[in-house]
Amino acid sequence: MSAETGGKGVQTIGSYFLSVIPPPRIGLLRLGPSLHQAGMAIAASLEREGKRVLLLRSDYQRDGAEVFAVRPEGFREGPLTEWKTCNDQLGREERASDLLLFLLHPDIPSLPRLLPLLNLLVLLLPGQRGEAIGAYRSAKRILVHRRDLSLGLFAAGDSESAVAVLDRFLLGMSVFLQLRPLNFGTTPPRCAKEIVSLRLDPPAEPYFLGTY
Amino acid sequence: MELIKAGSLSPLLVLDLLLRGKAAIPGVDIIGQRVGSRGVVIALDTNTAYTIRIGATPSEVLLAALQDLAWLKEEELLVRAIFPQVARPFAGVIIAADLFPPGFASLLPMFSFPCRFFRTIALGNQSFPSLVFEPYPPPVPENRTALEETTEEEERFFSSW
Repeated sequence: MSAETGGKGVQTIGSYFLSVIPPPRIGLLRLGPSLHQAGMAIAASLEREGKRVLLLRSDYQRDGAEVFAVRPEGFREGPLTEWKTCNDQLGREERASDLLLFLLHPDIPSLPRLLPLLNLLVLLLPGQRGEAIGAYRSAKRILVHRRDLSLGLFAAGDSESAVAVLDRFLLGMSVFLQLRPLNFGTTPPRCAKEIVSLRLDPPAEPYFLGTY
Repeated sequence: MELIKAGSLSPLLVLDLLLRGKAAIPGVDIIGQRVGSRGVVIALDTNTAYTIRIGATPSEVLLAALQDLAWLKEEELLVRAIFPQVARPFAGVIIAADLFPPGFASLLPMFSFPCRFFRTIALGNQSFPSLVFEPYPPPVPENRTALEETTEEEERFFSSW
């Protein structure tokens, strides 16, 4: 539900539209080096699609006293690790957002706790063929235990190589893991459009249990 | 086997299959009859006696499960008289559901009584359904297992093309 549409459950507080319905949660799992930028670009594209996005990162560095930052591309960026100390502020920002994005790494300790909370997991694949096997090893380690996750694939880099990696994963995950991931393409705008078109259901509870 | 759409089997049918021994919840024994005026179904694991409820989602049946639990505690003497083998504490609820909403696993530590959740997966067809129950949330092993290792075939498929 977009807050700007003023749908059910939305109330105006100051300059914010705060919803009592928590936004859907999407995990962006980096399965290779240099995929941080791909996650940021997807967040920016979702903003251009009219969604207010809060991107949470485990490696987020605060810039000054503010818990989260507004990036030039329009989306908000905040910490994944400070939820205990900044719960209210993050909870308020969550309620003002249309989508909660988690920029994740396969080795973060909180991953098993986070995965069941997600509406959708998008695997960010490297665009180079030589990095595909490393990405697949990481993906398999996680997915063999979580076959229930809704899954999308995105390969970074709008090149012939990225398209080849994406095609190989779509086929390989079907053959070896019996999974049917969605194809989110190789460009952030395409990925954002695919995510928006899914119309994800909101979770039962907010991620940050802020003061209502 | 074909996976039947989640929620397409009625909870009554699922419970009936459990009571008749046509389906089983792993690690749980179900006493094969309804008990008391509420028609409560009782299940046992190694530690606890539970009431059991089936629904499409956990929230759909949670309140009824809690009412069953209260009844079970009040009627403990009656149930022990009927089932003398039930020597365990009467303290828990089991809920089996087709779908769990995102984030539901994070609520589990908040329950102040023993509770176990299972995901119901229906295979086959509407006439002859076969049921599988998986623990919810799925257990995540601490160490890497053989399942997680990539095979030679996978290595070849993703390394050289």
